[in-house]
Amino acid sequence: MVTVVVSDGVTFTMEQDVAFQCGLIADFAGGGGDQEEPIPIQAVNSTVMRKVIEYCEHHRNDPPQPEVPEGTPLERKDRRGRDAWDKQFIQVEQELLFEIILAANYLNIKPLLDLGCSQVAEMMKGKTPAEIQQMFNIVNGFTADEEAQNGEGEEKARNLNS
Amino acid sequence: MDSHSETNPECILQYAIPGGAVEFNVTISDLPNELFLVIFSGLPLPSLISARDVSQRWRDLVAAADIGPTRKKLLQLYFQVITSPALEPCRRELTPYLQSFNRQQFLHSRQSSIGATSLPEEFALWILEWPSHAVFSWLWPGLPPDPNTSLKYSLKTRMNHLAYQNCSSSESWLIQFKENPGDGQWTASEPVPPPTTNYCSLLRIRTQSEYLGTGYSTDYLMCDGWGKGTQYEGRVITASSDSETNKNAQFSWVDYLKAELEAVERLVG
Repeated sequence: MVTVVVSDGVTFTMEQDVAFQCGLIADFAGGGGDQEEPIPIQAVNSTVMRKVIEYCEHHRNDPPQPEVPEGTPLERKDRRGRDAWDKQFIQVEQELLFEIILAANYLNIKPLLDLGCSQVAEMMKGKTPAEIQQMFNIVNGFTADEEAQNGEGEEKARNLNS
Repeated sequence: MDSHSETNPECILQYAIPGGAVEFNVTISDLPNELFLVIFSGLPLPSLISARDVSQRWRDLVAAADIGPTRKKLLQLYFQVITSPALEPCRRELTPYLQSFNRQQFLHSRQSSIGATSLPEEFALWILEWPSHAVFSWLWPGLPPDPNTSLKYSLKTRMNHLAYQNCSSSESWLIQFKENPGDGQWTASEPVPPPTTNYCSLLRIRTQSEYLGTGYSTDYLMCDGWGKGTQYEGRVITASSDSETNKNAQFSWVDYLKAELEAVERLVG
């Protein structure tokens, strides 16, 4: 069993094979026996940690992933393919999505990081720059001149995805 | 959420402090640059183009992202096209004829028509991701085979061999050529046999003389050819039946399109 304590003080105890999908926890625990002290994970709160554990439990029996995805962009895209469970799992509010991505990065869970990032990519699909700015609440940092140029590109982008 | 501690006895949730609702104040802009690079590395061409215009930070990160050599080449070509003086006159001519088509299905039918081999990546990615607003010549599945009209710039006499027709009749665009053992010349062998050794799948994409106005010579797009002792797997080769211009054969689909753009620019200029 591995116990962790997250930023808002909540303690989670889980089986080693679940916990060790987080590279950070595996490194911390060093592959030894049961931990006496809970491992502090200050960068993640309990809401996000629950999602992370849910993911790790579902994928506990997955075969290990190859380190570096090889092949063409087309093949790489396929490799990132998500099953129905993953798709459902990552359908969350934007803030939680970014929290999950940050947590997956911090905890070093490569497949979850890829899942989160591909979900962001999915959300951007077929959208104009203005629509992306609006969706993610981004204040653009272009000057008026650059903005005028972008406007042209944006008009063109509306014809995308024929 | 808490119920999963009951359904999964291996995972015991303990609450040291009663956890209230957690506040989220995280936005996409809180992601560090390296995570943007991960996101952008998986984007298709149209999304990369849009992402560039979101903010200066996004623009810099799109430029830095590892999008692979093929998308990078296509993205560079895209910027060359949209800043080209040839685009607007060509778009005026092409827009009335442009139709949407199922890109996946188009590619799939072309893929199956050449058997077990794969289409060259540059060509496949161009079909899947090239924005239709940046189509600048009469060579696109979303255009009819024959414009049958007087176009001024977009290569008016071109037969569009990529014309999107019924996917089941995909062989219509694919011509099999056989290498003559003696002189190394390629000869058409029709009707189309399945690709086997010593055969080469070639696609006629244009007659060079049709827009240069010179003598007759024909260019071909070669997909995954087999020659005697020579394998062209995974490459695009535009070769000419005129051995003089064989020297100018392009080994890359994007390079071919670049040459095409320059030809259109000469007409416009």
